[in-house]
Amino acid sequence: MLTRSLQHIVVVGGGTAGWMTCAALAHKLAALPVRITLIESDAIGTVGVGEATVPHIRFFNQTLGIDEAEFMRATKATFKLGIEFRDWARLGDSYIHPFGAYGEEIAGVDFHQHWLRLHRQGSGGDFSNYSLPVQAARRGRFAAPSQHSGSLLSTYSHAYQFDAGLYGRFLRTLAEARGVRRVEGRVVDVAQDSASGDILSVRLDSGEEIAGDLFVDCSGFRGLLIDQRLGSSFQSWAHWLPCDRAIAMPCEGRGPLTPYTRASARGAGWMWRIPLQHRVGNGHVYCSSFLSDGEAEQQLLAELEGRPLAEPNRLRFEAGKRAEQWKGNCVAIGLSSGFLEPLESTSIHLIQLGIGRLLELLPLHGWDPLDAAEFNRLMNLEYERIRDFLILHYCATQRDDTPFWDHCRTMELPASLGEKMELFRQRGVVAPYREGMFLEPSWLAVYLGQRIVPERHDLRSEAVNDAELEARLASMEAACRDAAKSLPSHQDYLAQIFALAEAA
Amino acid sequence: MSGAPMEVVIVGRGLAASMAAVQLVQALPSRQVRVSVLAIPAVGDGDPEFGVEATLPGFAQWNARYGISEEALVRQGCASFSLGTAYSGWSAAGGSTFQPFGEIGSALEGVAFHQLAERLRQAGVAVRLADFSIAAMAAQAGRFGRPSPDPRSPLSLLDYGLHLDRKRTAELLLRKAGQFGANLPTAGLSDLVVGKNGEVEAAILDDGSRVSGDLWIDASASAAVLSSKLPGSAWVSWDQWLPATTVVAMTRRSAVPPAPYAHVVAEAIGWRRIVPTQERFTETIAGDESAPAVEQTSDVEGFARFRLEQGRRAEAWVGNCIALGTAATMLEPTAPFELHLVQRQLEGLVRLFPAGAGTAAERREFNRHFAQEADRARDFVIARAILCGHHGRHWDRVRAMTPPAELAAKIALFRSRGRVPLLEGEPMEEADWASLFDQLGVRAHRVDALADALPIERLQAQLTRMRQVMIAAVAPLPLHGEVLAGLARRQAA
Repeated sequence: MLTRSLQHIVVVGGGTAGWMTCAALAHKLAALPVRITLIESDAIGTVGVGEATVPHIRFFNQTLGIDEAEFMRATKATFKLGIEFRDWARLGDSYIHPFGAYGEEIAGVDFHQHWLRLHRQGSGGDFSNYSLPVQAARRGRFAAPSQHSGSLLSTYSHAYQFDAGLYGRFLRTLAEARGVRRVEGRVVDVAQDSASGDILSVRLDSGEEIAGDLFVDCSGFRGLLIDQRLGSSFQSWAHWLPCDRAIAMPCEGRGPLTPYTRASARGAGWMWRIPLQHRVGNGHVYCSSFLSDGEAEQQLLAELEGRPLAEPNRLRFEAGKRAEQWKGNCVAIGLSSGFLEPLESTSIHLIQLGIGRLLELLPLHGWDPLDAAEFNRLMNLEYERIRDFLILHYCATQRDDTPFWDHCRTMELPASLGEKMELFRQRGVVAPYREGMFLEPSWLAVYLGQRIVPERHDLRSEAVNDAELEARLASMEAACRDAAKSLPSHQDYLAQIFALAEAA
Repeated sequence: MSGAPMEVVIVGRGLAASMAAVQLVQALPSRQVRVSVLAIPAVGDGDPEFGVEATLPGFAQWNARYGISEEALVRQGCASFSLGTAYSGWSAAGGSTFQPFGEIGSALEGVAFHQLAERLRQAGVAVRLADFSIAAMAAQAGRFGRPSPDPRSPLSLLDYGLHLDRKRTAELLLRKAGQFGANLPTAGLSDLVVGKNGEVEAAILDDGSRVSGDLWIDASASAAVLSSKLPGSAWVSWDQWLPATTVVAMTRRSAVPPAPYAHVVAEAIGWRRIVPTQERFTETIAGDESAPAVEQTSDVEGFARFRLEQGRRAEAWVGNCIALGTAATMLEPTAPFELHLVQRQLEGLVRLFPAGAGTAAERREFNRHFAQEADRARDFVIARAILCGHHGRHWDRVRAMTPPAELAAKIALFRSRGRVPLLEGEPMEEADWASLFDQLGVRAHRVDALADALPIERLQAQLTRMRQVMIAAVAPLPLHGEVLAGLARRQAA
């Protein structure tokens, strides 16, 4: 074990990853003699298209003591109850993957098993009728979940849709107030220890040399340190997630603010729609082997609901991750650690996880390669499980209208996903795991939303007779519907929390 | 669903078999599933399924869920309460330590208690983890209480298992299973009919009658009367890590109230384990060579001598037969995992119970969990053995071995920085591992940065207050013997 201390952490790259890292580290390590410097260049743009989040972001903000209304105002945020998926299993299909569970357990047996039993008999209605967040989202309604654990209104969660660029700026203010030093400049050279390869310092275009003990690579796709210097190899998952391009373009919003993100499948990929307070974020993620850049852009432009507000932002990427996200004294956080398309809004969550695990394994009292090994083990599990969940959206399809979907429908799957799908298809059981952000309700939403209906249901459901079961489900359905109707509109709720914040 | 109900045949009438009978009859609808439980002839020198066994927390709750009250377990199963396990002679420093149930201390600002403790130690403050366990403190005082549902109460940190008389508990559960609808033929198993496809078709009973079944549960303990006859249920041996193969167990009468904990002592030839319950206790002595000498005095109520072949089946569910409990996993009981593994297998079985044609997906999922859970329990047991500081041939041999890779990673990361890489199927959480390492004198070289960010004075004040609150909470708890006597009086009333 090396005994070198950890006195200076250097974060290379601003953007969402860089500033989230700095804000969290500065807050958590405030009592320790650790300096934090962030290097960024105004000349290098950030990707900043990750505008949709998952509920875990609330915990991140709470930990930093961030006031919700202030944060939402600063980032032009709206509330999010889930993601609507259109045209995935078949053209014309639509389902919402909500942040919340479906129905309630009956007689100790999972709700979905009872639903499945009725469904196979031709009753029970749509699975989404038993999700309050879906019912609220469909009606454009929103309120923060109740704190009373007995209430139906406490059974869902929410996230935000925001301007990631503004979030970065918001966190920058916070981080700088907590002592993070920001250095403007571009890294032009990196000095490494000849024996270990560890990074000793970086030199900027200004000539300034910045030495550090731990380097956090938040330089985005380039992987300035982790890839270009340390050569941590990239494991490509392009054979499972073939989309490799995106075009992002915001436009003026039309109509009411939806409390959800939309992901619509298209001929060679999919398009996102993320409503913010001041604009709607749009993008087209596609596979360049099946669609030209020009056609992709035309298709996106054709679908814009309002006047474009910026030039198209074109991105190229490859699905996959670094074999080692922590190598030597360098930790990659954000796009430098890997890339998974934003279909399930996981980019910011992966940043948050990376930060959390770095804090837990921070080598304050000497270095041991075991820290990196544990970090990489945990991040790899997370990446692989998100990967499987994303692939499910593509492979659980009946679409045969384009060569792209023919490929997705027939491609060979990772064994880990193949087994999970087989278990669900046969028996309606969602394989549980210890690490991994997507829990049973998420898998149910996508499996059932994409027409994988299990062949068998749990026998234990039969302990409840048909009439009683139908009555129970009808009452749950009514409760969801009534609760959803009781919520204010998303727009009104936003106005209300800003008015309250103003008054305070 | 229509058609004839599915016939499940449980082979064996020990504790695992009776647990399976109760759970399957209670959890599955009787119109669809019928359960029979067959007795098997005794095998070998005495029945290993006698005496007293200890459980992890959750056993009483598991029974309550299936209609058997804790009171019934105490009164008819002769159960007593358990707050953990005391260990003597394991650390090189000698003396005794305690592995408690429930929480040990409380986290502060998201930093685990054992990290806080290590931070204080590095600042020169002596801290014993067990001093911050309500269960350990109550156990030491011979007291017992149930956990408080109020999260503000220090008693909410408490948890407990049971010490059960195997035979009486199995009888109780079987009787209940019979009342709930299980079929308990008086004739025992005599022969099996196995089809060409390797599936069990029927059992021939010793009165000549025939019982056919769709799904078979082999709960015949080490005899594994079904599994050992079926192709494909290979045995994965653990004896390179767990060389104790010779076991002598005896149950003696006792006049004193039982201690609310089990006691495991490391000795030159292996280990000795004492599990007390009401009016009796079982002592098990295990070693790797010739059978340890024991004196069979007149107070001995039951005695068994058997070979322990530690390991598990590669797959517990093969064809239409599921090996359950010790028919599937043999692990020395220095930690009380036997019935926990039975419970986990049964929970998996109910969740994945065959529901029509085809069971391939269910079987694969069941076997995946089975293997993970057995292996992780194994690692916890090996950890105590490999880190044991006792001298003698047995322990020298154990210390010289290379641990399983997953365990090696746990020990290495804990030594390095007090963290434990937890995998799927763990029976114990990080705090339990930290307690195990603490007892065996394994210290972390580094503490978490987040623990370092907390001022020493604040930590000291926090621990002082925690200790005071715990002492105050333990003092008024009744003595364990009084709790048991109170339950007995209720019976009389």
